[in-house]
Amino acid sequence: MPNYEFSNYLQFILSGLSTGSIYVLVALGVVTIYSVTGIVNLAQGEYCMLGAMLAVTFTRWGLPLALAFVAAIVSVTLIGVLIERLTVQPARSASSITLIMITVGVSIVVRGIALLAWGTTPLSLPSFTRGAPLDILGAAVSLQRLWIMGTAIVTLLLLYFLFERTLLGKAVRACAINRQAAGLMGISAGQMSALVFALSAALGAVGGIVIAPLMLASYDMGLMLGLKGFVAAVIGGLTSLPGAVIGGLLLGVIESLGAGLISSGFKDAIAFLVLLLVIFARSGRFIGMPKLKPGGKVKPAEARP
Amino acid sequence: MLAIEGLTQVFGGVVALDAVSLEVAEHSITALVGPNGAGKTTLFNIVAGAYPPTAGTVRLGGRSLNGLPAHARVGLGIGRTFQNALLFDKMTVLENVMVGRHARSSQGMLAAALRLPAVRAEEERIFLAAMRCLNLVGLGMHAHTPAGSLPFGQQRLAAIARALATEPKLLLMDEPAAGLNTLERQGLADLIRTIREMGITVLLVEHDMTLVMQLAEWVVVLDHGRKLAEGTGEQIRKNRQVIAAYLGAEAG
Amino acid sequence: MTKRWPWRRDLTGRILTRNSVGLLAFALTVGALPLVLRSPYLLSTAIFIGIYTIVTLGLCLLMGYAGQVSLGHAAFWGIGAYTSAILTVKFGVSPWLAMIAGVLVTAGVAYVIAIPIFRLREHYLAMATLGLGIIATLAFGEFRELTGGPSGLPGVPRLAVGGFIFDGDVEYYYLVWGAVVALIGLSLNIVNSRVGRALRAVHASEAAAESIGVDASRYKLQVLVLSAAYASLAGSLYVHYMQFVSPQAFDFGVSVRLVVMAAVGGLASVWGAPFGAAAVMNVTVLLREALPLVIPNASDKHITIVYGLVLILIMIFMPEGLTRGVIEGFHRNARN
Repeated sequence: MPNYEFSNYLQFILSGLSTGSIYVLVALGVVTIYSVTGIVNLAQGEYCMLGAMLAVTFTRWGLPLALAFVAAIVSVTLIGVLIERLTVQPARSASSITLIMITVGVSIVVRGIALLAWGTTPLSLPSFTRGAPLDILGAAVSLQRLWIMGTAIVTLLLLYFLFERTLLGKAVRACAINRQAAGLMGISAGQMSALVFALSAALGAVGGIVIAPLMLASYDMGLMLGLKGFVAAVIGGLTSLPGAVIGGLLLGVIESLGAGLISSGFKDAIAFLVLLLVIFARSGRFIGMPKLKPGGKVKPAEARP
Repeated sequence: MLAIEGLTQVFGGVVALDAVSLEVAEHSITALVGPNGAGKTTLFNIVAGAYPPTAGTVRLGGRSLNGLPAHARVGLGIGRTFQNALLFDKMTVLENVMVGRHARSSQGMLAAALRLPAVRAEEERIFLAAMRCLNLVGLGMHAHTPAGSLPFGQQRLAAIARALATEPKLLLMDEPAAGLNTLERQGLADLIRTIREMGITVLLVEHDMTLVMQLAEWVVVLDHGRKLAEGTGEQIRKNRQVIAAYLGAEAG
Repeated sequence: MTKRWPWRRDLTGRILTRNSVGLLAFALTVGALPLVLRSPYLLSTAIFIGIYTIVTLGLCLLMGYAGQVSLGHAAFWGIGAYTSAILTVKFGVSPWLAMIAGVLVTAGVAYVIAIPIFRLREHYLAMATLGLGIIATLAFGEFRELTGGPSGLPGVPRLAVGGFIFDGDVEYYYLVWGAVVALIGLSLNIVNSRVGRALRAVHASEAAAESIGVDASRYKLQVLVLSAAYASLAGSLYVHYMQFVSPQAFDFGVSVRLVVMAAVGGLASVWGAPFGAAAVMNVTVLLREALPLVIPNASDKHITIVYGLVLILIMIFMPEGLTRGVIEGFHRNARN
């Protein structure tokens, strides 16, 4: 392990926090969909990819930056609803492994269509603001990273407002706690399903747009982002939004520190090692305890998380 | 045979069972009754091992069952049937009952893969034992019918045969008479008496009070998660609190 | 046999005979194929189909009978392949011993993952295998001294028995398909046994199965280990055929292709496995020829789109898999 100074560690941590912010956005999408519909959406990362690619394409078509972003987010949101209607609705009563495989299929198809549309060459998006990296206590933090963290914070605030203050948000939360009771209150499960997919797609798109200047947008950028954001959601417990935030930031920092301190070749593996560790740890805690099934009542006979 | 002490179960904020204690005598037919939501099925689930209680102990023949998962309790002699049969729909009736022999047989995956002679011999034994159980409940001729295609009453019988195949010492029957017509109920009553004659202790949850009075030597009444009363059928019938609980449940 | 136990013919007797006859017919068909296939390219494809079949067989048992998903099964395949390759190339171990070692290592990995996982709900295994698959692919590429890194490990020897070396495609075809026939036989035995019944019961209603004494977690674990062992064998056979191994052969895309093969073949179907493997391979080969005519620079990446669509469609309309769905549709029509 090379000799690092404080400023190096700070660099790793700050860099980890900004990448972690992207994982947070993806993880929020995963948690939202899972707690309301019980579906493990492995295609979440593709919304990031679509957001980034569409944003670049819209700017190339002449739209000013801000407008291109909005257009991209809206488009991806609509695509999310489309995917939900086409692939999830017809199979809504299927077993969870069937649904997982459908989401895997969706992720493959979306990636493939992106390949056809944009080819393999990565696209670049300029940083939102030009300027030299900031110096924070010796660590160099690029402006884009600040944008990422700022966007994540703003998004979290908006989500908080949505879930705590608006009727729609409360309906979503009711559905997450008890789908049957929510149904009795007049909240349509089908509409909720479409809504959470739309919301998650939007979150993913935002994440993709905001990281594109740093990592180059390409048709397969969604796979790793999606899987790692997914790991972040699992760290946080799969049904908890604050957990997703903690999970995402934690994962980003661990990954960054691990890559810097141990080995950069294994960077991608770190997230999955953490996943395995978390799953193992979790299984110890949940033996035999009744656990709330997402969107439904406690089913004593199937009392496992 | 079965001793339950201070059994408490809390789900989220709901107290399903509140310090319930009761004993089931060996070779008896005991009935657990009470209005809906009294906690009867919860009690069954805990005794069968579906989930651990929030507090309290369950003992079978003096031995504590706490911490044992459901499948391990079968080996110790606890069998159960469910309110809605829960048969393995796509398997035949005979195959359903043969799965019931699982705890009483042992050949594993490797032996099965190689189809060793020991495996063939065991299959023979499993087959015979399963047929005996099926014949006991009167479904022998339906052995090769897919379980899901049986009429409801016969599905119940198949589920009982399956539970009997586990050679239980204590059989938990969850509302075995629900949905059966009068003739079927008579048959069920006879079957339960036969089961008791085989040396099996029966604990049943039932709403059909006529059947309960016919069959049960001992009745335990639960209401809102608490034991309200227990005694012989006659005693329970005359118990004011029980009457009030049932009337209250009907009015409310 | 039928006279002493007249009822047995109906239950175990008929099933056994039907399977034995089926297996014999299958073996004969497969055995005769090289005589019909003149082109060496087709023979080579047939060998690959055989290898895929072995992996798919394990995956079908896992997905259909244990009701679990493995999104990283290529990892088990790869671990078997790399163990065989490393032991034979770097340490001069006999290929057969290396194969056994591969099975043990792979089974061990599966066992370690499985112990905690099966207490949780199904999607946790999907996640864990996903994670395992990605870690494995990275590990194959990173431990260069041992695995040869991203460019792979060449020089893997051929399999041999005594003086007979499995060198030509025809011999290798019989070796691989001989293994396929044997494994199908073993799998059928398992499915029609006490264990198989228990697995089907767990698949139908885990609560009911547990209530009659079936330890669901234990059997899911056993099936996972079994499916990992199958994959490892396939990996060893693969490596001794190609005489080369590299990480790209075992990445996430391959895991997905395996799942598609299992889905097409029929999740709870032993006979579906060769069918699914053959169908997907043949379609892949066809697409490789046809697609570049429509889309310039078409590569395997484009073919993956088709896999994805097929997977989605099958899961929506026939979640038990294609062959099972077709057979059941057939039965339904026959009854009406």
